[in-house]
Amino acid sequence: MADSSSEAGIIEQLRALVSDLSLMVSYKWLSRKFFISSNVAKRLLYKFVEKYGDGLEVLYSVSGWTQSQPRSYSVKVVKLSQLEGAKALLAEGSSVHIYSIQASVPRDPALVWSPDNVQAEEFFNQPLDAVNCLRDNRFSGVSCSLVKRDHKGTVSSSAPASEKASLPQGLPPKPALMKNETSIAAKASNGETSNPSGSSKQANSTRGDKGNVSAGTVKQENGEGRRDANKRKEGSATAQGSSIANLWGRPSNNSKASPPKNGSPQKQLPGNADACINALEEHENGGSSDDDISNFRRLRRGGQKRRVVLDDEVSEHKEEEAASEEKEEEEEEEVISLISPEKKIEETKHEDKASNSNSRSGDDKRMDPKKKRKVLRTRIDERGREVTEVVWDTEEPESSKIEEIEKVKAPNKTAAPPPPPPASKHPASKASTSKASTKPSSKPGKKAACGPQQGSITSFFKKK
Amino acid sequence: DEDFERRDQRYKGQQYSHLYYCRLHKFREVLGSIVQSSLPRVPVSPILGLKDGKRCVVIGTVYKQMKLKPSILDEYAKERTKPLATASSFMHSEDYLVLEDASGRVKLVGSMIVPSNYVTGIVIAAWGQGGKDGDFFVRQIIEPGLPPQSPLPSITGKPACPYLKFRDKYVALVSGLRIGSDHCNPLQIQLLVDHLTGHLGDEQEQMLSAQVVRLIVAGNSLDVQYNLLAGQAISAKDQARLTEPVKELDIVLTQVTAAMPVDIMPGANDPANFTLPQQPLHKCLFPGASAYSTFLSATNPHRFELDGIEFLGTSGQNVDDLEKYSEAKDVIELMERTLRWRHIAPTAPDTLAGCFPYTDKDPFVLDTCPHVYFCGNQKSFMSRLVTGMYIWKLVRAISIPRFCDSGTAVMVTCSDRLFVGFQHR
Repeated sequence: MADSSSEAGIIEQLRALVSDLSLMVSYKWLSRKFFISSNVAKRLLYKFVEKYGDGLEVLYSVSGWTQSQPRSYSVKVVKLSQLEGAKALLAEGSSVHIYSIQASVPRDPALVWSPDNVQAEEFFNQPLDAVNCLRDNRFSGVSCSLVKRDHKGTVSSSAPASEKASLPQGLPPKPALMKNETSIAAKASNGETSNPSGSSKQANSTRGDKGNVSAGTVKQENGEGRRDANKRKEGSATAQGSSIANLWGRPSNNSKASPPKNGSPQKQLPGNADACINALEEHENGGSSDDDISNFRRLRRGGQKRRVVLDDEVSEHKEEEAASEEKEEEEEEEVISLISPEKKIEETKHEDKASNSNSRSGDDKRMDPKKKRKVLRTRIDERGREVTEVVWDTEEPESSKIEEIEKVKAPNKTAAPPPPPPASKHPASKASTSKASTKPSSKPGKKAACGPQQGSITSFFKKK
Repeated sequence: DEDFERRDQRYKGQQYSHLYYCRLHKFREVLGSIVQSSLPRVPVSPILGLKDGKRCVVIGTVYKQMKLKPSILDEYAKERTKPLATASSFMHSEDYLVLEDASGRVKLVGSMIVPSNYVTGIVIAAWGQGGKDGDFFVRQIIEPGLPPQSPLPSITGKPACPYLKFRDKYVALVSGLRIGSDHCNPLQIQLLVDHLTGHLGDEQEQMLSAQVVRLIVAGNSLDVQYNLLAGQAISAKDQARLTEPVKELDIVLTQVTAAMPVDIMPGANDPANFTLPQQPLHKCLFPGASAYSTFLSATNPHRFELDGIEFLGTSGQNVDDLEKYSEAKDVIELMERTLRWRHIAPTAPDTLAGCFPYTDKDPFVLDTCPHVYFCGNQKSFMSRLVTGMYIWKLVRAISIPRFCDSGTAVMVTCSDRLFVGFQHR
């Protein structure tokens, strides 16, 4: 902590900053610049204003409960002239402290905020490995032992950092233990609360293998915090002890004449650990499934579009499709089993129709219902048209069963059991491209942006 | 939150009929049992089986025929026959309700029915008799009522700890930060952050901050400049303008997540998907904040539990839509109605644009009653205790004001669900 000599040094530097450079110095900026806690920074600002305050404008922060109903907690930043008025609106027990000092107060409140923001951005832009005061909130008056930061890199040392308060000597840990046990037993799933707080006392945190960032707070204080933690380590055997000890510790902190390090209450989070853990898990799960979801969304969208077109064109192109269907019937055998039985029926229906169809430019149109990756490929087919189609990213010589599946899709679009998604997407895409290539009358010059829009002009209108 | 996450659902071109069917099916059971207990001798009849003069109960989905409701077909009408409506309310005195079940529809008439109190999409039971013109004359409307609620964990049951009294836990709710918009005041947001993280105030005040155990950001945290997304290539300068607010929000969130658990929900203007239930904001938007274990990107609506108290809330789209299509004296009354109808967003997908067409469930149906029910991005802060038929079902309904306009956040204590408005100037 800053002792008087370093305080004086800081005050001198402040003087230079404010008067020479006419910077706007808020308590937070000061605390982050000189690595002092924000409560100390506020005191320093107060001393500074007492000594050198002439010619400087001071902004005060007034906070407290309002007197009028409904009672609410209000925080205001006011100039000196408005200070008394603001205090009058609040009930007793409101607190005033210096928010910032500057040569002149800007009109726009955002300008009061901007130096802090610039400083915050600097800290924010530091490499992810660095643990700085922005990232672990070390200068605040409140610490939270639940916060763990994982930046996929090095992790700060996990000293027993969760407790800062000192245990009042006379209180045995046992009743505290009992109380917490009952409270925790009342909750449904509590197995995990014991682990983090317990392990944080030993110098390794087991919670998700994440580092204990709040180590920063302990380093900030002198060794007293650690000593307390050690004391408590011996005292309470179970994990609950740490959070309870905080409970006991906090009120005693208040009574001490407080250098800020001891005056820091901790958050009580026994009930929250679960929520946090669950949140963490959900979060992790959410991240991993995002890729899948985005893939599927792409597919879904593509499949959907094509299916609409097919509906319209089914009647026109049945013959061609049926023929090609027949050709590849043998290869389709194995894939049939994956598709719902309704499709099978449709397939047999179309077997009767036979006609010569142009061979599809479709050797590449492999379909593997199990694979889920579609790739757009543009080729020139045998008729000289540019064909853009969606092919599956696989080498399986699986013929595309698009036709019959696509026809099945049309009547079954609104049926309740949806066919397996990959299969449904395959037929849609493949059928349209095959149709496009097999239809001789389709406009040869029409370059397709994507498969289903190829070929028929009526599809253009129907879609729109 | 798992109900609202669209984990394995795929859109295959299905229609919304499945959603409505699931809804009706679920409520038919609920209403069936309620009707049996309250009107034991009255039969429940399908709509097509209605006979003139026969007294019975019909259960079905309400459809409100509204004259001023905008319809896409109006664009194709030859003349403009529809009177112009204001954008905020589509109510008209000639609106009437139609009840539809699996067999048919019937118009509901009677003085007991006040169409302005109902919206399309709720499932109710109507007790009355068939009228001559094929109408149904209603004597009483039976709503599902508040769903069952798990009992609040009692605090008094714990062994006495003198310090526990001071340790009320608070949950902070804020919405409508609208970072990036012109009238957002960053100093206000910074004051909120400073207070929550414990920098502001003296030790007494910081004790108060220490009691806040969670922050929920209920939507509309960002204001994306849509005029830049006109479909053309975006210049580097514009790109910076687009991403600046996101970065600012990330810095704000980093500061808070370093201090307490934070849940951020997407809102109507956030870069998330449009259809309800909105999926969580992607964590790539928050590279700084998502590194923390205390950061949670949540769905909209968001349901979570804290210390045995169930919270449920939305970013406000459902209530805003209800406001347009029904009348109520304030937002809390609308929220109360959604609780009584046991459905968070009954107008989805009818007018509440964008509802994912689920095929197997309706995620907005309330099976259990939350203890705290909040709704973000409202005009002003309001809160009331909503009671069910039985006095022990209590819900604290809160409407969270927009922070950019009011500078107010809300704190809810977990012990007796009192609230505290929180103002920043």
